[in-house]
Amino acid sequence: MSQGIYMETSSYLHRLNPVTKFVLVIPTTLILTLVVDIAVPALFSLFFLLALLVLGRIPPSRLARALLPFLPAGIGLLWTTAAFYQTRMAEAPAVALDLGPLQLTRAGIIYAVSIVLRVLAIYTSSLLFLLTTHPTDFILALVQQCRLPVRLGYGVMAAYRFVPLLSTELAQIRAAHRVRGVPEGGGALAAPRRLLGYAIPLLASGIRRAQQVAVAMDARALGAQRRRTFYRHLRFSGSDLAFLLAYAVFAVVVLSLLVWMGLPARLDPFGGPAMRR
Amino acid sequence: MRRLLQPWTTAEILVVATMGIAIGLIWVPWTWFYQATAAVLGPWAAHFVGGFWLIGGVITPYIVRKPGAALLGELIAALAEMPLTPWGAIVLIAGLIEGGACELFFLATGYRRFSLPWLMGAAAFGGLAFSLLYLYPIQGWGRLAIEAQVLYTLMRMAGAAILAGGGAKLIADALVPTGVLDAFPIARERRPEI
Amino acid sequence: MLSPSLASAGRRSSLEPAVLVEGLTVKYPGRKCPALEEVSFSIQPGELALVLGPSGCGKSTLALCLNGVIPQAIGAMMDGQVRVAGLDTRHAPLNRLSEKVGVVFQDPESQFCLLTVEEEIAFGLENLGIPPGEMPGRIAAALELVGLSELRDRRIDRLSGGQKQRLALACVLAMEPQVLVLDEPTAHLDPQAAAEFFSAVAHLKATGQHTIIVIEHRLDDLMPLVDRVLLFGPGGRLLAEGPPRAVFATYRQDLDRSGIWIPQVTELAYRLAEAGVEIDPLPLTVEEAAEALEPYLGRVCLRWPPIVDPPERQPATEVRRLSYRFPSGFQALREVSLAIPEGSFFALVGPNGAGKSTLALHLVGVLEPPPGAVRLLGRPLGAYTRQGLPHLVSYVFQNPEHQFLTGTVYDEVAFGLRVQGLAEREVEARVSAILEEFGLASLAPAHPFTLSQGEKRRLSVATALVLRPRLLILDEPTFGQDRRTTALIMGRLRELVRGGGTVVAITHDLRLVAEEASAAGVLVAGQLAFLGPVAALLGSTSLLRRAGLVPPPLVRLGQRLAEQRDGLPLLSTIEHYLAALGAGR
Repeated sequence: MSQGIYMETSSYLHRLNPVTKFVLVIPTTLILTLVVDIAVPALFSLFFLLALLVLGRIPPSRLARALLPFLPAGIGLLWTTAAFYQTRMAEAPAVALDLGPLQLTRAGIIYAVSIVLRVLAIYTSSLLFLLTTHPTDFILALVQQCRLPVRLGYGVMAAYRFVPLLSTELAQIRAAHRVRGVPEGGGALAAPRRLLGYAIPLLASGIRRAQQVAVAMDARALGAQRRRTFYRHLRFSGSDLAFLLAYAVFAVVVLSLLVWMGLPARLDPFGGPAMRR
Repeated sequence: MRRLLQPWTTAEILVVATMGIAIGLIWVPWTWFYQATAAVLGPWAAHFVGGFWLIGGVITPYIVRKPGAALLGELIAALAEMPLTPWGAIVLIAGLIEGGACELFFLATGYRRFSLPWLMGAAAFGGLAFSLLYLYPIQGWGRLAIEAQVLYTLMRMAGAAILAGGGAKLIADALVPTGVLDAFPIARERRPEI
Repeated sequence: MLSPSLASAGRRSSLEPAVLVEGLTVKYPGRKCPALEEVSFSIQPGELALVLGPSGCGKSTLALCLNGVIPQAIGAMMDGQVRVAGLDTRHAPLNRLSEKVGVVFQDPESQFCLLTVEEEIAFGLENLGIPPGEMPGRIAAALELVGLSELRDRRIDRLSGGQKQRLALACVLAMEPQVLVLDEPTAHLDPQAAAEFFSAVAHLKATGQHTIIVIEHRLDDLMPLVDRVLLFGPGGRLLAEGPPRAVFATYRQDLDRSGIWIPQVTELAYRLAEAGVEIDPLPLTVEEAAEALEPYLGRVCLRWPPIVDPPERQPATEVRRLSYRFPSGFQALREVSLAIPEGSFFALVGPNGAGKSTLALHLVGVLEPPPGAVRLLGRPLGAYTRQGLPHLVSYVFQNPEHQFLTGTVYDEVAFGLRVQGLAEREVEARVSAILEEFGLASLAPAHPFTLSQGEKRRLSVATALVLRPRLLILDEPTFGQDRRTTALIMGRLRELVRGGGTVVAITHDLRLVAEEASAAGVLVAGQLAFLGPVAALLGSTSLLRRAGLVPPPLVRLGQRLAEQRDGLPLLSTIEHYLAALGAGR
C-alpha cells in the first residue's frame, strides 16, 4: 500500500490525533494569505520544521529529502512571480537585476521571495501532518472525530488499497503491448494515444474491482447498523490540546510582533496597496 | 429527479474513489510536466497545462450524475496526490475550490446536461474559480502585470475546457464500451438492452 | 430432475431448512434474460452443498441473493422467496442477515478495505456494533479456525493469495454466521493454496456448526465433503439436485455439454465405461477409485507405456547462464540454462515468485537479456528487430485483458496480422476462420472486455495462434477455464506442436503438464531445480513439494496402484489408464 512519504516510527507527533495535525494547515494558510512578508512565513516554516525534528523524531536527512521536491517548484514560482511583477506606483521602479529584455525590480524580487516563503510555510505545515500520519489513520480519524460518513471513509480506504495493484498492472500491460508489437515512438499524437491505451484497461479493471469490493463490503454489513463501534479508537488527548495551545501561542506572538512592526502595510489579501519600502 | 436524491451506494462511492485516486496519481507526474512547461515555454503555457487539474471535477459527475460527484472526485484526487506533490496540503485547498466550483456548475444545470460543451463549461468555470480563489490569495497574482493576470486566467480556463473537459469525455466514453460502467447512467443512456 | 423428496428422503426433519429458495427469479436492469429463473431448493442445517453450472449461469447472483445484497444493496428485480436461517432476505435488515450468512468471493484482491489482518476482521464486527471488548476474542477464534493465528498483525498486502482467501473466510466467521457461501473461493489460487483452503473448509464442516454452500469448479479435494449437488443449466435454471454420485451418474451429458469440470477420477470412470470397463459405483475420490480399480490390477498391461525417444531437433529457444536482478534489487533469476527443442511442448513450473514469468519474458525480448544469453531459432535474440519478433513469437498473458488493444473481438484478432502488413482480404479470411473455430464468430463486434472469462481466454489464444508463431508462450493457460475451453485450447496447441511449433506453458496445473508436456523445467527461487522428462517430475514427490505443487488425482491414484502392483509404471493421464487397463481389447 502506498503510504506517500509517511515515516513509520514512534514519537510525540506520531501519537497525536491526525485531525489535530491536519487542522493546523487551515489557520496557517489563512494567516499567511493575509500577510505579505518575509519573516512571518519563514518563522512558521521554522516552527514546523523544528517540531518535526524534535517532536516527530524525523531525521534531518529524511526531512531534507521531503523538502527536496519543493526546490524546483519554488524556483519556478520565484522566477515567474518576479518576472511578471508590476508595481502600481507612479515612481520609477528600481531595477535590481537587468537581464536584457527582462528587468527584475527590487520590489518584485522581494515580493516573489515572500510568495515562495508563503507556499513553503504551507508546505511544511502539511509535512508535519504527512510525515507523521498514516493515510489510513487520517481517514479513520475523519470518520471518528469529524463525522465523515462511514461508507465514504471506508470506501476511500478500500480504493486506496488499489494503488500498488495499479502499478503492477501497468507494468504488465506495457509488457503485453510490447510483445504484441504495438508500434513505439511515432508522431506527436502517438504518445498520448499510447498512454490512453494503457489508461483504459487500467481504469476498467480498477472500476470493476471497485464494484466487487463494494459488494464484499455490503455483504459485511457496512453502514447497515446505525450505531457502529470501533475496534481501534482514535482519541483527542491532553497531548493534542498541548500542541494546539503551543501553536496558538506561537501564532499570537508572531502576529503581535507583526503589529508592533506596523501591521496594516503588510495586510495584503489580493495584492492591494504596495509595500512601502 | 428521484434518482438524484437517493443516497450514494457503496459501489458508487468506490467507483468515484477509484477514479479519483487514479487521477490523483496521474497528477503527480503532471506537476513536473507543468513545471517543465513553465520553464521552457513560460507561465502562460503552464497555466494552460494546469487546466488538467480540473478533470477530477468533471469526469466523475459525467459518469455518476449525482450531486456531490464533482466535489468528491476532485477532493479524493487531491487527497491521493497530496503526499506525492511538492505543494503538500495546498492541493486540498485547490481541490476544494475546483471541485466546489464544478459542483456548483452542474447543480445549476440540474445535473441534466453532460454533452461536451457543458463538460468544457464546467471545467472552465472551475478554472476561473481556481484563479480567483486560489491564485490571487495564495500566489499573490494581484501584483502581476494586468495583461499577465488576464492572459493567465484565460489560459487556465482554456486549458481546463480542453484538457479536463475534453479529456474527461474522451476517457469516460472510451470506458463505456468495456462494460464496466454498465451500472451507471453514462452507460445506460447509450447501451441497448442485451 | 431427481425428485427433491427422493433425493433428501430420510433426512428431512421437522427443523426449518437452513436455506429455503422458492421460485427465485432475478433480472438485472439492462438485461433481457433473467440471471436466475424459477429456482427452488432447500438445504438442511449442517449440509455442504456444491453448486455447479456453466459460466454465466447465475451462480454468483445466487450467492448475492442468499445474503440479501440482492435485492437490498444491488438494484436487480427479484421474484420469489429466499429464506436463510429463518429470515426473509428481502425484508430482514442487512446487518441481521450478515450475522446469519457470510460470503467469501473469488478475487483475493477485491475483498478488503483495511490495512492489517486484525483490523480487517474487526471491520465486520464494527459494522454489527459489537462492543470493542468482545472483538479480540472473536478475532482470535476466527483466525484459529482458518489457521492464520500467527499472522494477526500482518499487513494484508504482504499475504499470499491463499492466505488472503483464508482471511476472507475468517472475516465472515468472526461474524458467527450459520450459513457460509463460498463463491469460487479458489479460482485465483494455485493448487497448494487451494488445498489449504479446502482443508480449512473441511475443519469447519467437522465442527458441524455451519451450513456451507460452495460454488466451485475445482472438485477433486472438495468431493469428500459434499453432501449434495445443485446443478444449474444455461439460462439460470436449476437442472438437478441430489447426492453427488447420483447427479454425476445421471447428468453426464449435461455436464459434458456445458463444459463443467467433474472430479478427475469420475471422468476416468466415464472413459473406462465407454471402453467397456464399467466401474460401479461411480468413484468420486481417489480412494474410491483405487478401491474400485483393485480387481482390475491383475490384468493390467505392464508393457505400457512404450518409450519413444523424441527425434533430435534444433532448439527453438536456448538460454545460457541467464541471471536477472530487478531494479528493486530482487534477484529473480540465477544462472539459468536450458534449451527447448523445436516441435515440443515444454512446461515451466515452480512456486509463485520463483521467476517463471521473468524467464519467459526474456525468451521473447520484453526483458532484454544480456547479449548472447538467449537464442531464438538459432540466432541471438538481439539479431532480431523489434518489429520482426512478433512474427515469430507470441505470448499469452495470464490476465487476457492486459493484452487487449482494440475495441472489438474482430480487430483484436486482426491486429497482429495488420501489423505484419498482410492484405486486408487475407486478414479477413484468417480472422474469420479462427473466430469460427474458437466459437467467437457471433461475438466479432463485441468489446473484448465484455466477454466472459472463458471467452476472453479463447480470444487471447486466438490472437496468438492466428499469427502462426514458431514459439508460443502461455502463462497459466488453464486458469479459471471450463472443461470445454481447456479442451479446445489444448487441441489447438497440440496441432501447433505437430506442425513443428514450440509451446512453453507456465503453469501450476500438473494435469496439463501430465497430459500435454514432453519435458518440464522447475524453477525454485530463480534457479533451475529440475530439467527433464515429465514422467521423472511426476514421480518425485519431494521435487513436486519443492515446486509448490500437489500431484493431481490421477497421479495419486497411479501411485496407489503402483504400490499394489509391482512393475506397474506411474499412470498419470486418462490415456495411460485406458492403455494399461487394456480397455477396449
